[in-house]
Amino acid sequence: MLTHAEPAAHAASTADVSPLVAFLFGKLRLDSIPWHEPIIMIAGGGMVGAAVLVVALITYFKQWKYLWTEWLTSVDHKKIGAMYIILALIMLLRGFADALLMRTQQALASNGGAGYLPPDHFDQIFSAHGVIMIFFMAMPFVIGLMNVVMPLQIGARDVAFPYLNSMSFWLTAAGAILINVSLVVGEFSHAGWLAYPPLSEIEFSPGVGTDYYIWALQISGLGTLLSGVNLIATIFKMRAPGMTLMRMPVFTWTTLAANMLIVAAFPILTVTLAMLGADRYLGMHFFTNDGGGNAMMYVNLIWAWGHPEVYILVLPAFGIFSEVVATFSRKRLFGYDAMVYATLCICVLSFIVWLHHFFTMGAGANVNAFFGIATMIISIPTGVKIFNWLFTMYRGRVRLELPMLWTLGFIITFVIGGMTGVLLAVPGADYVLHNSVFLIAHFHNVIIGGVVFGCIAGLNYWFPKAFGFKLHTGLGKVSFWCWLIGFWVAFLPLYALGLMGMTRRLDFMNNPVWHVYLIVALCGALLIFVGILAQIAQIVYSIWKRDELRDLTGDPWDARTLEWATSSPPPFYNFAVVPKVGNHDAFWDAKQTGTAYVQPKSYEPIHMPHNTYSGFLIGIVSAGLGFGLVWHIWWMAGGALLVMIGLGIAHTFNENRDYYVPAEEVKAIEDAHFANLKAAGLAKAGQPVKAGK
Amino acid sequence: MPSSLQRNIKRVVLLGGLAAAAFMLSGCNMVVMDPKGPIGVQEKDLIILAVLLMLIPVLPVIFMTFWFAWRYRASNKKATYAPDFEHSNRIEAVVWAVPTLIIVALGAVTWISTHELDPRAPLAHVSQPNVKPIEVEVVSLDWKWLFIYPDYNIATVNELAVPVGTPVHFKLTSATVMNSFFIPQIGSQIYTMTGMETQLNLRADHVGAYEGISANYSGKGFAGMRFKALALDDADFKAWVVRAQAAPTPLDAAAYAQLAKPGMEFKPSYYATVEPMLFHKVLNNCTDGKLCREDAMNMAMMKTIAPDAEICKPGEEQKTTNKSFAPKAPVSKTQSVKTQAVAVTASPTAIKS
Amino acid sequence: MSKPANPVDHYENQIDSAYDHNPNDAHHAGDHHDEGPKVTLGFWIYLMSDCILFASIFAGYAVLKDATAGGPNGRELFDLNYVAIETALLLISSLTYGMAMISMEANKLKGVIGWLAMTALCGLGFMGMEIYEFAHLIHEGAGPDRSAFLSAFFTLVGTHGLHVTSGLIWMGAMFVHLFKRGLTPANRIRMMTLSLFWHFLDIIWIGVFTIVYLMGAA
Repeated sequence: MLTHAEPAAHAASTADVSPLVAFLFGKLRLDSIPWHEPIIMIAGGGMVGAAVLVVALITYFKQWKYLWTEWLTSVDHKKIGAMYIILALIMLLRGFADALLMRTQQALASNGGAGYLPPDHFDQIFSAHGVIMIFFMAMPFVIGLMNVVMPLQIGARDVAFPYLNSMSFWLTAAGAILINVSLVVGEFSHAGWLAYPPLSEIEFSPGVGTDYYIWALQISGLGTLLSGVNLIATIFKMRAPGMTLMRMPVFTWTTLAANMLIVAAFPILTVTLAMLGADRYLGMHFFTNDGGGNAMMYVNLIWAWGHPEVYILVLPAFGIFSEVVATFSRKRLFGYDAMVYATLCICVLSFIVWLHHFFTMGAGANVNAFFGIATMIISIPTGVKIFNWLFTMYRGRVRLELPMLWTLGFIITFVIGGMTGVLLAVPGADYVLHNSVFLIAHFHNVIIGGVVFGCIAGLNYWFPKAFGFKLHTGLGKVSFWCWLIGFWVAFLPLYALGLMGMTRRLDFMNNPVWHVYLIVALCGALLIFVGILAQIAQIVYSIWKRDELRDLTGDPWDARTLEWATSSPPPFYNFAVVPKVGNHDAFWDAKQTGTAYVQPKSYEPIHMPHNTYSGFLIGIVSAGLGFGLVWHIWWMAGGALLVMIGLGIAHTFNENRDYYVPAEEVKAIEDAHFANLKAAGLAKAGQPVKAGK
Repeated sequence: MPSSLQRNIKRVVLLGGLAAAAFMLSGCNMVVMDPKGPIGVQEKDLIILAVLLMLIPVLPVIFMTFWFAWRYRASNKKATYAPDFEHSNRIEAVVWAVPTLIIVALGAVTWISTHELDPRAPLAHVSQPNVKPIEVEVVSLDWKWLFIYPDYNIATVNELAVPVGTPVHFKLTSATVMNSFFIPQIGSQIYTMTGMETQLNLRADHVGAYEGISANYSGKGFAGMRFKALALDDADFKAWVVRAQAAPTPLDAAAYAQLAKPGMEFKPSYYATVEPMLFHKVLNNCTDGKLCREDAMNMAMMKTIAPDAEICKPGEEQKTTNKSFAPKAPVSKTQSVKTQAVAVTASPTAIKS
Repeated sequence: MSKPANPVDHYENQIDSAYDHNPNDAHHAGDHHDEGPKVTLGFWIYLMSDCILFASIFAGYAVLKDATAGGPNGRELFDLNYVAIETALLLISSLTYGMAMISMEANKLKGVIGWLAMTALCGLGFMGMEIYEFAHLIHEGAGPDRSAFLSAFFTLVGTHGLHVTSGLIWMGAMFVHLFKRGLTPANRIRMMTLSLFWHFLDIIWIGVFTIVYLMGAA
């Protein structure tokens, strides 16, 4: 018989084992690993195999020391940013595998068949897909880009708190580790990506899945919050002289806006999940069916975080498009002031629209209408942004390089997604479209079309800055067209299915008409998969052919903002001499007036932070904390917490935190860079040289 | 629906909706676009109107994207190049004004339609005023739907029947987790939640059998949580009621406890009589004889209003309430306490908004 | 965009020309003396986010405060006299911390350590009283699992207590720092941020005292 409870194996009681085993392993037993599920075992085996392979390769090539000193313990914002993006790309593969499994199940189970996934497994897959894509793909991707680019854009040498930055990343990575462990050890949540109670309560979800969900998000959420604090302080305190707020590049503005949203919204998520955890671990009654609990409060709280979260993701993407469109139209961004004010408008409005996620909960007409109209108002500043991008192209010189292609694809895709979004903001329309696959199509339309396209545009745009060579154009175009066409083939059928009354999260349905549409959607998903493979091939091929794709000038796109004023990849101190700023598009102006590419006569020593292992260790140990809490292994959880506190305190006693880079070392590095510039015909020492074009 | 909004919608649809309609109304599969009741019709028109309004700026944007990208391509040296053109009051005024005007229009439509389509609003404005709505109490269970007809003292599982052309007033709650009660071809959905009573007013205008679903994921058996919604003419509906009344089993406490166990139930079933106040007890989480939630709230309220008054201890209350599950004793002692003490408060089970 | 005619721009051009003189020096100085304001700003941002954390828990408490599920309410549970002593302890600790900061301004290390020790004692007393109150409530059957009201109560007061506990751990580390190195610039920054934290907790407690205890017992 079907019940909410898990199979016996998952709910091993502590009564039937010796107290020692119960103490040592909590609820964890050998049969917590789903040996009988071939799909999980193959996926898990693949993951473990890949990990073993990576470890073996590192050992074989004797790269452990390099990895440790240059990456794991690094506090360099560029390397931390790169690690965020690597994490995002790995998790994109994991999340997309889930998407393919779901699309396949729905295509197979819509014509009388039962498909190949039992409901138990299907439910975990859609929950994991949402959690991974939002928290461990989109978030690390945008935070990674912010980390790499923003300090360079404001002419800073690092972020305000480099050690905290490293810790933030490793906490996020720990959350990702927990989620991946849940694939093999135990189970993941089956309560959807937002884990609505009462379904996520212990009464209906007695397994460890929801606990994995809670702790993975709590740990990575802490990392995100700290990163938000760090980046705001960086923007407010570390801008180059002359860079007033209204001279900041638009990407820096949107970074500021997104991080202010992080700082304001993530505590709400922390509290909400803590309350759910208190219900599950301590028998409290925040959201339970009995004891006076109120599940509607959870829905309100989680969306009070969840809606700003959408803008945390999409605002930086808007910033990326603003940079890209100005550079590749070789023209000043149209309506800079309007862009800034529109960003801030969206920031504020994002906090007063959360109720549109549950118009169907039975609120009164006044309330629903208010939140519906508030939601629509957000489309005004968003619309202004789109018009401004268009008028930046107007009377420009548009080069259809990869970042610009993604931007054009974005505009066309996003306006449709925005349109269906405003449609869903009309309560009367939402009453029949809510929770349907029409909604699924809408939010994938804005998240893929906005956030993912933005991140890939940013990846193509800033990759040469971070690594010194461009990404291959041909493979990039293959990826772009597969993504764009694949997206529409995958999601137009879902729009139609939503109008046919198909609701989300169905593991089977018997409907021959839907079946056809679902097969088309599966084909679209496969096309996107080809796009992702092309994306990976593009990166691998570009690394292989890096000498042909090399850029020695530091400015491969003839761009406009300060990050292009230094070499590619930038030296670890970013700028040998901190630039001065007289306007936005500071570097473009410098190229115009001939003050770019002038080598100063002498250099000063540069003050830089030392690497530290504290952030890395705290992050990794926090995964142990999460694992111990999930399985009720209290010694492990308590021990890990003590170690984390100890490491944090010990770090405050670390005297040797910073050092000076000697002027000679700076000079040697800069001389090499200027030799390259000279070879490119751009610079002569001590003499202003006019930029090309 | 006599409102002028409705007529305007009709006109707009006729004038400009052909292209959109060709896509959206293709065939009878688009159940949301082929509604069989007044609420659904109004929602369909609303969707079409909103899409058309939004296409006013969206289509030019898509067109301009292609046009500008082509016209100002780097290789086209004939096109004007103005590298410092970054501001124009005229353009800025237009790009702020156009979206604003569209949103003002859509906002007005939203305000009016949200009030007209309020799930709690009786269908008086679209219905014959002399027809009394039929009452249905809906309980979502794991993973099936229980429909109680207090007027006829019958209950059914996974089969809802309503007389065609008659307004139906639903009161809904859940005995387990959250679900959403939804018949896509008739109109609005509404959540069902434990301890909360939501309301919905619908009407079916065409005889037929429609798909009913849960539109909010509720666990393992969610995909199978479907029901048939039958819109019958008067004679058929009377026959249907008679058939249900002839069912062999009553829905008493024991039968309800059995029904409430998790499981998927595809076949409809019928119950001849229903435990008195069953819906109320589900709503207040006391079908098993525990202290009803409402009574607990009232006791708490009593303590606040008259802290020094002698009131029963929770343990004693429980004994009294236990009895209330027996037939013919629907009103417990605590409920009579309530009526004296708490006329001042809103019903605790009402939806917070 | 702003044109160079703008007076602010003019002012900044002057600053720029100051930088022109010796740009490296100017930045160099930035590296060192900006540490304090940078940390303080960062800590303020963190405190604001903590504020939102408490605001969310307060909101939860406000929603659930009448959901006693047949269990006891605040009026039956709270002993205002006891809580008044708790409150007094915490307020006094804020005062003593203020004295520690005054001693720091006067460069008196002993004074700083002494006043900080008083602060820690008050904090420990507060935590002791809170733990006793919790134990007492749980013993009486009014634990956090009794009703939604009590869940919200324990979570709100307990979260504040966890913050106070972290503050005490921080103070423990602070003592070691002060003993080892005295009033170094780094330790001054630490004292400053801990001060912000400690006063912040005081303000939160005033909210708890008013909304939970005073209004709950009324």
